[in-house]
Amino acid sequence: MRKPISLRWRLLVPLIITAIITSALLYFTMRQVTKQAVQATQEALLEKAVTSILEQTRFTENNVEIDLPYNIFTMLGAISEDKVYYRVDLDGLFLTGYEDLRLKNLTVDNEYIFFSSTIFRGVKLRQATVQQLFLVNGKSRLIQITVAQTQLFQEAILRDMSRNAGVIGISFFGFALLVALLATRSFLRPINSLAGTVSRRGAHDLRPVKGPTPPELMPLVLSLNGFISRLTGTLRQTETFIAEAAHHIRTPLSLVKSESQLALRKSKSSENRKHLHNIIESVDMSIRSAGQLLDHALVLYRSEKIDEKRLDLAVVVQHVADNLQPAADLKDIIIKTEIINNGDIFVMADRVLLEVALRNMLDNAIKYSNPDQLIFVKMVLDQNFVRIIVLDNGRGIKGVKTKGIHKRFKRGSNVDDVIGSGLGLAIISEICIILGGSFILKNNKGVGACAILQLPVC
Amino acid sequence: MRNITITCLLIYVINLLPVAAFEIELEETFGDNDSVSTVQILSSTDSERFRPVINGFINRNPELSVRYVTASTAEIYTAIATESTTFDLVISSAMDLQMKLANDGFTKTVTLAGNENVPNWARWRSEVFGFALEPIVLLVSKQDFLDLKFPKTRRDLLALMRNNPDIFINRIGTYDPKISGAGYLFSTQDSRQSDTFWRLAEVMGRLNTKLYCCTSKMIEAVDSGELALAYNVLGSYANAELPSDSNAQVIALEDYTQILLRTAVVPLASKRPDLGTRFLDYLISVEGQDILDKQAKLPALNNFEISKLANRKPIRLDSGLLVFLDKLKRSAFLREWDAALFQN
Repeated sequence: MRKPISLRWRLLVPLIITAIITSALLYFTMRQVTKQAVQATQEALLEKAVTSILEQTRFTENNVEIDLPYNIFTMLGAISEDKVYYRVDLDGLFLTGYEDLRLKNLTVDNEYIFFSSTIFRGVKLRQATVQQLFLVNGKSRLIQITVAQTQLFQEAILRDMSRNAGVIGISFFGFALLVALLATRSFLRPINSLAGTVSRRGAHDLRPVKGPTPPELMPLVLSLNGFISRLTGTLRQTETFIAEAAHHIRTPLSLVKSESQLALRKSKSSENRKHLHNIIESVDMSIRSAGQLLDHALVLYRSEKIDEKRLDLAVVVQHVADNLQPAADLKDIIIKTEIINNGDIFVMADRVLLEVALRNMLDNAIKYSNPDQLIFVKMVLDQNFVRIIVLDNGRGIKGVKTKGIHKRFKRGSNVDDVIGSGLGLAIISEICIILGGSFILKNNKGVGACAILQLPVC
Repeated sequence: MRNITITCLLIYVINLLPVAAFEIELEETFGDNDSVSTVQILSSTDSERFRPVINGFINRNPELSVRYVTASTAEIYTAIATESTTFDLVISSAMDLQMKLANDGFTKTVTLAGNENVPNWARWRSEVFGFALEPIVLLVSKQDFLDLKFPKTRRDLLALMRNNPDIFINRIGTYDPKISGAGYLFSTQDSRQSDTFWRLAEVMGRLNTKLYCCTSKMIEAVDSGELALAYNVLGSYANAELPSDSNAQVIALEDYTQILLRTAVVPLASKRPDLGTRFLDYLISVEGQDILDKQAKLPALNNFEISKLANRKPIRLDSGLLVFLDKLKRSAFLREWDAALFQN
């Protein structure tokens, strides 16, 4: 398949070709005009010379008097210092002047001035010839007069002219090239800005493309928007499906869990109790995964229409901590929240998303903490950002490759014994991108892990 | 009789031979005999006058010698245009003939090192270069003008000659345009300048004017008192040759004084055009011009006295000069001249 030609070249090549042709035409036209002008000037002088000689020609009884006009000869050489030659013939016989100057053969009825070019002594000449019949004593006598001049001046002028015309032609070409480049750039600017608008969007921003667009680009924008809306629809269907699927799984699982707890209470056999414990634990994890799937679908859904509000961060954090305290109580874990800097911290964010992110952070902390431990949630204000730091005393992430840990269904290498979906960190990261913040997971100075969510304050 | 015919024929044939068939006046060689190369110069200016310049050139170029051949301007033209001579530089006071040599393609285009020393009016293309000026003047015998006022214009001169035929009869001299190229040039240029010229010619004819081949003879004749006046004399010769207590007085007429250019060309046939160019470059150099002006008494291009002459009319170096060289034009002019001069 042939490589597609870029728009820039499609535009530039015809423009450059046009500029080249125009410059060349300009050059040759100027040259031609100059040549004609110089030639016309020379011919006018030559014409004046031959007619003056003719006017001064007189026949006496048996003699002819020719007078060469001094001033005309002076003038012939004046502009150019070109060499001058002449020849006068009477009845076809050489009379005076330069005998080796070839005379143009004219028919007898030629009464006008005849211009021609000839080579004389190795040099190109322009010559004017005139002839006239005189009636002398009943006999007709034919006078032919030729004056010729070298064209050194014309060549010199043409040389100068060509240089000037060349400079003008090249300048014109340069100018045309510049204009072509600018035109191409201005032509491509709307396309580039459209591409920029689209490419600057967030990963899940599927709003239709808006803003002023040149009419020629409207079909592209319309079809792009059509495509986006189809894509959005498909995505939404998928997410709805996942959410519903998670919901449908979670409800029977809750039933299984409560039935299993009932069975556990009634069971006397220690073996059965152990089995039931395992079942309850697995069901717990499955519920949790289903919850996270729901969360994830929620995040994707919310990212399309963010509902940003000014939120008091402490309130939100406390709310999430309170919500998770019962789960923490199961392991006798206490969650402590504190604001390091005095005063309230406000962020501009979607509350639902922020809560999901915080919940996942705390959930992870609880999950990987050993019983009877403390989990600290600290809020640190640092210039325009607030850092929400969740510290636990769990296993930490020592020696764990953190690369790719934020991807969906990827889990750290030291958590195989703990059941998890691998969605938690992915959810937090995606929310981070939507909220314009960043997320870091690192080892605590002592033991445990340290998860930091950084958000812009307002 | 038959022998005479054969001899004449022989002389004719010899004259047709290409080697030095033109008439040489004097040939002289300057510089060391063992010089590397020789500059061949053909000139219409006496070697005596030119000696200081040639010596100056040899001082500057000790490896060169100069062969200096003098001939009349007409012979010079013939030598270059029709004979296979190989001179490196041709110097002549006949601007018209030099101009014709260049126009007809017998000269080389030359690039001079001191190009800017030659003003535009003193050159034609890069082929003919003027290097010295020559005012054309009137020479009068002081002893004949004891009771007369010196003429200031040609009109004065006419009146003077008409009113004093007893003084001027048989005692006026001028160039013979038929035998002197310079005389022909001055007369034809005179005829272009004013109609007074033909009246002058007629009056001169009536007073039985004597015709001369050259300036020096006219200067002698005026100095000795043989002539009362000489019309159209080379001013530099008069200034150079006359002693301060001379009987001859130089007058530059105020209606107009023609200025002739002494010009040099490098012939196309030259075997060493570089040497010709070198000599020419010396002529137009500051030093060469100074020697020409002060020692050779050939006024330099920027000569102060000439530059302040009233109504000086330099003969223009252009293609107009070719006109009077046309044989029909020449014969017509000489016919007129004869008609004016010889009235009986």
